[in-house]
Amino acid sequence: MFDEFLTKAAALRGSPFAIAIVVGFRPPVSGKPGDKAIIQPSGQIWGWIGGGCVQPIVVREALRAIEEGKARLIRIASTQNSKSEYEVIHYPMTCHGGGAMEIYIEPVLPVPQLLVFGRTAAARALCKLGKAIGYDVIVAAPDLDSRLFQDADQLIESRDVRDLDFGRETYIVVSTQGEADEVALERAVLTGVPYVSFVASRRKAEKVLQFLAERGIAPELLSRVKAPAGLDIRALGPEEIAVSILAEIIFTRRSKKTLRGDTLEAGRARSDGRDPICGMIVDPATAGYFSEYCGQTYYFCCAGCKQEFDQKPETHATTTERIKDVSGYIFNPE
Amino acid sequence: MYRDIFSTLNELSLRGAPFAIATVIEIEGSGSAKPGSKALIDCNARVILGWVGGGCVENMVRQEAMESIGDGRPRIVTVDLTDEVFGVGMPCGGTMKVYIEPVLPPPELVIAGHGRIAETLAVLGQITGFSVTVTDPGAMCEAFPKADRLVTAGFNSSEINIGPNTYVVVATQHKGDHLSIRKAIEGGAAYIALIASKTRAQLVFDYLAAAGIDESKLAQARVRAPAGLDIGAQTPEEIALSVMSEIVSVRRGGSGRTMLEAKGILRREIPEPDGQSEKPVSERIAENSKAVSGNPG
Repeated sequence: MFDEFLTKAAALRGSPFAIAIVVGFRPPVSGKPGDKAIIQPSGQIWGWIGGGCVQPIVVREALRAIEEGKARLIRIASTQNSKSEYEVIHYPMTCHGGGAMEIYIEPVLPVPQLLVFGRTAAARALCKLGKAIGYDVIVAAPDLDSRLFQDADQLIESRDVRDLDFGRETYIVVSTQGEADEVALERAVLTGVPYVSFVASRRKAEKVLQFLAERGIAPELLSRVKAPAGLDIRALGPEEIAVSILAEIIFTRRSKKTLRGDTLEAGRARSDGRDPICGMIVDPATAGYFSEYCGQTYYFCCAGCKQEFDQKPETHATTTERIKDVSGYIFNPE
Repeated sequence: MYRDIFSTLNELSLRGAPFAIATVIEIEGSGSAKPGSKALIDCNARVILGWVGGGCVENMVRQEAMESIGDGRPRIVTVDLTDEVFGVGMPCGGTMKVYIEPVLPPPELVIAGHGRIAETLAVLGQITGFSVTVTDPGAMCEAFPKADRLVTAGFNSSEINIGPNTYVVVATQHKGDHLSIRKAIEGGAAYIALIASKTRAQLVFDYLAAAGIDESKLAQARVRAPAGLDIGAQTPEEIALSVMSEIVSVRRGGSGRTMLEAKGILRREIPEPDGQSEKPVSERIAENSKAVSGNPG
C-alpha cells in the first residue's frame, strides 16, 4: 500500500497535489491511522482516508493547503474538545456518533522554474544560485557552453522556448546583455508569465521596450517587465546581481497573497480600497479614480485626491520598506 | 617587471593582506613614469613594489591608495604636475592619470549552526565570494561541501575570529546563542543576524542588555532578528536567500526596495500601437507567438 502510494506521488511530480494521512482516531470511524490519500487540484482523490462526511472535508482542506502552500492538521469530531489546540482545524463529525479522527494534510507543490535567457556571467550566476535555492533552472541561448552551466536542469541551445510548460510557476530573467536582447525579451513576455525581468540599464530597457511596442507587442505585457531587475541592494558583480534578482522573484512569488489582500500592509491598502489622501473607503469595483504606483492600485474618492497623490505618490503610498524595522534591537545603553 | 608584480600580487592575496595597485594610465607633458607603470601599496601606505613617479606624485598616490583600501572603491586620480599653487607643485609640467584599485581579502561569512538554512547559506555565501566558515558541533562535511572551513569546536572556540570584515549568522536552533552573539558584538562584526523564534531572540536580547558588554560596542551593534530582507521568504532556502540579500545590502548600502521603486519608475508608459487596442491580451499573445515563430531561434 505504502509503495503504491509513493509510486503514485512520484508519478504526479511536477503538478501540485496534497497528501492526507490519518494520524489519530477514536472509533467508530472508518479511517485508521496510516490511511492515506492523494488529492489533486481537480478534487480527485486517490487512496482512502475514510468515507462519509470525512472525504469532502479532507478534499476542501487539501485544496486550501495547495492554495496556501501550508500543511495543516484537522480534527473531525462529534463533540469539540474543550481545549482547542494550537492551529488545529476543527470540523464537526456529522455522519457518525461518537467517533473522531485527526488527519494531517500537506501540500506537495512543484518547485518553481527559473528560465534564464542568455549566457552571460549574470546568467551563470543565476543558474548556480537558482539551483542553490532549489529551483528548476532552464537556460536558453544559442551557442551555450554547457560546461559553464553544469547546474542547469535543462539547456536549450536557442531562444525558442515555446515547447516549455508554462503551466507551472515560472520566472523569467532576460540576461542577454547585447546578444539579441529584443528577440529574447519578446519571447519572454509572450509566454505571458507574471514575472519577467530584464537585466539592463534603465535607458537600454526603455529603448528595447519601445522597439517591441513598435513591433506590436501588447503594452500591458511590456509595462510589467521589471527593468532594472532585482532589489536595490547595490549589487556589485554578477553574483550579487543574481542574489538581488532571486530576492525579487521570491518577493513576487510570496506577495501573490498580498494582492488578494492577505498579509502585507500593501495588500491591505489595496483590498480595503481606502483613499490614501482623505482616508475615505472607496469601493475598488466602482471607484472612478485610481492610480498605479509600484505595482499597486490606489483608489480615490475624487479627482482632487488623485491629483494630490499623483504629484507625490512616494509620500502617500504604503510601500513597504523591505529591510525590517529592527529599531527595537539597536542597543542603546541609555 | 610584470612578472614581479604578478608574483607579489599572488603572494599578497594568499596572505590575505589588503593592498592597492596603482597604474599610470595617461601622461601629458613630461613625467618620470610612463603609461603602464605600476606600484603596489600596502595598507600602511608603503610602496611594496614598483614605481609611478617620485616625490609628490608618490605621496598623493599613496594617500589615495590608503583611502581606496579603506572604502573598497577603485578610483582614477589626476595629478596636475604644473599647478604649483593648488596642485602637487611639481616643476616637471604636464598631467598624469593614475588608476588605483584596492585588492581586499574576501569578506568572511561565519555561520553557526546546521540544518537546511545554514547549508543553503553556505552555498550562497561561497558563490557570492565570501570565505565561508561553518561552526557547529554537529556539522558534517557532506552537508557543507562548499564551506571553506568547518569548525566543530563551536562558535566560542579560539578558532573563530571575529573582525570588521566578518558577517555572522547564528542559526543554531539550540542553546548558547547569547554567547555567540556577544562574541560577534565584541569582535565588531560587520553584520550580525540571529535566526531564532521571537521568544528565544528576546531571551538573547535580555541577556545582552544585562551582560555588561563594552558600551560603545553595544551601541554600534545591530543584531538582526528577524534576519533577512522582508521578501516573504517561507522555505529554508528562501530564508537563506533573504539573509544573503540583506548581507549584500548591508555591505553595499542598499535600500532593500525593488530597483524600480528605488529608481522612481512608478509606471512605465508604453504607447499603444494603432489598431491593436481593442483586442484582449490573451489573443495578442497567441497572435504574437505565431508572428514570432517564423524567426530563427
